[in-house]
Amino acid sequence: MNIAGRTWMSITLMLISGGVFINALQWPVKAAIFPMTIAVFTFVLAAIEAFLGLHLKQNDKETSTMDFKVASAEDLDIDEATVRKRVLGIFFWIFVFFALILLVGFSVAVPLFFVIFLKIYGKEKWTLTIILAAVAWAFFYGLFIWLLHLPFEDGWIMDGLRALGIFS
Amino acid sequence: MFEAFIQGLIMILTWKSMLYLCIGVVLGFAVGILPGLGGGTTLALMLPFIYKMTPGEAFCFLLGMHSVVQTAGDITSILFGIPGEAATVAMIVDGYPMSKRGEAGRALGAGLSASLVGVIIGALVLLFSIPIVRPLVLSLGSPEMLMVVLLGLTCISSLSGQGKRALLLGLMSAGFGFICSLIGQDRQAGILRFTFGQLYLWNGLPLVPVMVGFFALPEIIDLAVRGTSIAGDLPEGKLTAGVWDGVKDTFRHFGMTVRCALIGVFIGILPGLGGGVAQWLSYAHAKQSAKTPEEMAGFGRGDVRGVIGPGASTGKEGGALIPTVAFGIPGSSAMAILLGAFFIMGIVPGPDMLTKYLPLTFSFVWILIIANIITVAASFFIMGYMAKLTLIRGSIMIAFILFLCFIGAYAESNSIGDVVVMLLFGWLGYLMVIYDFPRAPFLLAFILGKMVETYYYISATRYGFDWLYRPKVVIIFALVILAGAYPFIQNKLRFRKGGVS
Amino acid sequence: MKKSIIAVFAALLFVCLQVSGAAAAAAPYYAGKVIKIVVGYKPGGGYDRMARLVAKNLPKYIPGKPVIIIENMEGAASIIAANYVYNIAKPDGLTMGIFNRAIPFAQLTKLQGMKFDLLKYAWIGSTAVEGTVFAVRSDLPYKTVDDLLKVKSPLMIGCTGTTDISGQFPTLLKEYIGLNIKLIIYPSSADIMLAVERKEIDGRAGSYSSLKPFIDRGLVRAFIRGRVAEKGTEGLPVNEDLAKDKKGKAVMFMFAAADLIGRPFVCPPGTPPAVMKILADGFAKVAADPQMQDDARKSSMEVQYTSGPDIVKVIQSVFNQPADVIAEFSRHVQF
Repeated sequence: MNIAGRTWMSITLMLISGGVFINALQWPVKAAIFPMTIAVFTFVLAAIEAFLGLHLKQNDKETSTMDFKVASAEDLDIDEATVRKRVLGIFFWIFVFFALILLVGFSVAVPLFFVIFLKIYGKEKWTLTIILAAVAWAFFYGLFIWLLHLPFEDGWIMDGLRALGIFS
Repeated sequence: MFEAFIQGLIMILTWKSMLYLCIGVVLGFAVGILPGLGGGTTLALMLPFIYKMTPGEAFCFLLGMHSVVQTAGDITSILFGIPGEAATVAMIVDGYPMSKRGEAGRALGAGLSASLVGVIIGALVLLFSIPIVRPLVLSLGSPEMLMVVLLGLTCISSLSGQGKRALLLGLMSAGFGFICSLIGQDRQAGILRFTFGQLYLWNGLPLVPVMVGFFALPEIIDLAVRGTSIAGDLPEGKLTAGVWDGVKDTFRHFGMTVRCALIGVFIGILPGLGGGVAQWLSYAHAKQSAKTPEEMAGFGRGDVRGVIGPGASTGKEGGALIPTVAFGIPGSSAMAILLGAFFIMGIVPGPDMLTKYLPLTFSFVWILIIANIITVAASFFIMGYMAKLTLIRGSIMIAFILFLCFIGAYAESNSIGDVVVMLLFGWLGYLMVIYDFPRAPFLLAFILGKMVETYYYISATRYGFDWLYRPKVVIIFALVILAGAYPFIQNKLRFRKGGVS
Repeated sequence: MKKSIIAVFAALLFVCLQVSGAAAAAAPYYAGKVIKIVVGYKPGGGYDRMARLVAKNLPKYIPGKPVIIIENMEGAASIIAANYVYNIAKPDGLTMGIFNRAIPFAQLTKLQGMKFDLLKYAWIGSTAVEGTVFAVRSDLPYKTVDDLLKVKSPLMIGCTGTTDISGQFPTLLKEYIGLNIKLIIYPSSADIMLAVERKEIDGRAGSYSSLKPFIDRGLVRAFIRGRVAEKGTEGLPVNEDLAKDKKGKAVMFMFAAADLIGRPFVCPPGTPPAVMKILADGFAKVAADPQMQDDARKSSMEVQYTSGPDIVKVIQSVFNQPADVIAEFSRHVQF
């Protein structure tokens, strides 16, 4: 899975750098010189990597990055399926937060997300959940709204209701 | 020169100046510790308030604040793996893994003490190198600067992974980072590049959402997969005790610490390079001190030297002052704003700052030192508590970090677009992590893209193809090749020595 | 917004530290607010310094004493900043912009990348008249204009973009006087001057006020000036006089109009007239303020207010030039 994935990314990078080069052709020289140079370099590098990935069948276990690794199945003695479930799970929750922000605005989304997330995902007790949600909301409100007067939009639901004439 | 050094100190030892310095430190710390919020822009906003102060007080306030932001950013890098600002990314590579092993205290102790040592050494180096600074900067033209930046990038690319294809992947990462930096209006002609008809993209991808998403979201995913606190399920004892171990580590590796500080100062002196390059070159040097392949592999998994190196590169703060005051070219983005402060105070940058007004210049250096001493000393008291944050249950941490990410991305320009960018780069960061593409070269290339383009364009336009033959360019380019080939050379040598690799 | 965050944060902090007086009966529009000046250049250049002078001295002439902060948005010779103020900033009087004075010519030639119409901005006015000079490194062996005309290899001239004075003034010299130059674009005037010191660049054109410190220091020498003279440049040959072609003279005459718009300040289109009046009055008063004059002198600048309507007249006169002059200009001046 790893090799195939990396090769796909290399191919994508080839396409992207190709696209950059083609676009740069229509710009004046002073705006095009740098894009074209890096597009060429990146294309060549990505092509080499894609070639190596497709034609070297052995699993290149030696290559690893110094970057941190997302914990994998072997590390934790759990199976791949659980890992995948957890990853998808957290992606789902991130989007829930984002959707809440869009729908009801930051002010409501923050405490609401905390409550839902901590209760359902974290399985925390009600008391702790409410306290933490309150802390988060207080921090948010105190710093960003009361002290700094930052404007935060109301979210689509509010806007929609306003458009329909409910709430002025 | 020594008298100027002392005079500089005396200039700032007044009650009011010290008070403003402390206020600046507190403000800088509070702002720097919030991921994504903080950095040079804080300075910009403080400028209106210095009108009524004397120059001494004003700079105590501004510089006090500025010198602390970096240190605070290092703390979030180590504890949560989220960069406080672009220059603190190198600290994440080994600092955060240490936190994950329950060694947060040690990492903090090492990182902060290294910062302090770095600033002090940087100041001392400046004291003696003032005479050569002007000739040094003047001897490097655009082509040479381009090569220095490429050196930084190559070091990171080649050292950010093990194995034969690490360099290739690192350079690909960097290439992609450059491509992303193209988005927006170009600096030479104002042509819209890759904005896809979106007004939002005219000024390019915003740095903070990219950085926050790129680093923070994969960490969150990792936390979710592990299901534990950041420090895992390790005993609490190690945490706070580690702080003094960390300090001892800095002194145990004092030679390396000093060398990294020197790298910091000299990169800082070069106009316009910014903090990222200095930190990464320091890190690269720290990694070179590894003597065996196992040690080398240890970097990136929590080797304390990987924390000391970037920590000590704070020498660049003192260094960055020099091109700012001597040429009016800021040595970093924060210096650019300080430059504005100079003008408000009626100070005109120029060679006079290194001769007639040298005490004033040195007073700046002293402010950096004192502010860092105060910060580090104060931090030591709360470090124990901060380290305990790594013990909080994973799900709670996830909620708070997500909250900070979203608000950090949004609050910059009140734009949901920034949040979208953050999510996009979070996803991209995750992909890169699981497919073994190093993230650091991408980020550095993304940040430096515009500068590299400027130097490249000027080199090509001004010198035609001649710039490739200039002697200094050739020398630095040779260093670039060396940096790229270094891991291979090391392996070959070891193979010959040890027999079986 | 991050900027406004911390600005208002600190504003409140300092209000607490220095307890200020009671609020007025009817709170003025700008009370407790933060005005942002978007500067199309990096810190240190003439436009930036003028903006900071204004930021420091203007608040006392605006009822409510707002705090004024600077945001540097450099790139493409301030086209990026101009685009921002026109399209993205809100017309609530809390954002001002200052950009390069030669932008009318960019609009005249319908430059790609330009997304604004100068006439539609809410104009505050200009705080200076800036004469332009063309300066070359003193250590080069050229003493007169004739020497410059005889150079064998092109003079390397630094500019911050082809759409501002530093790019256009030399371009006109090249077209109509025959000066052999090559333009290299740098991110800021400070970078250009560093390049001059490094001998990477031979010279630069710009406002006299921003070049004066370097002329005084002996780094560069001024050779040619535009029609608008300033104290110290009267004796220099004028570019119009050096041009032999009648069309060339007409083009340069038209170009000198930019110097009158020395330091142009605008608000986004649609800013309410009542707010604009507050700002315009403030600007008019601060230009006469002795502290402002004093600060300006320290920064080797001069302050002189030209009102918004007068500026618009100058711009319109540029746009209303006879078609053949405009055609000539567009033909020769490449952007």
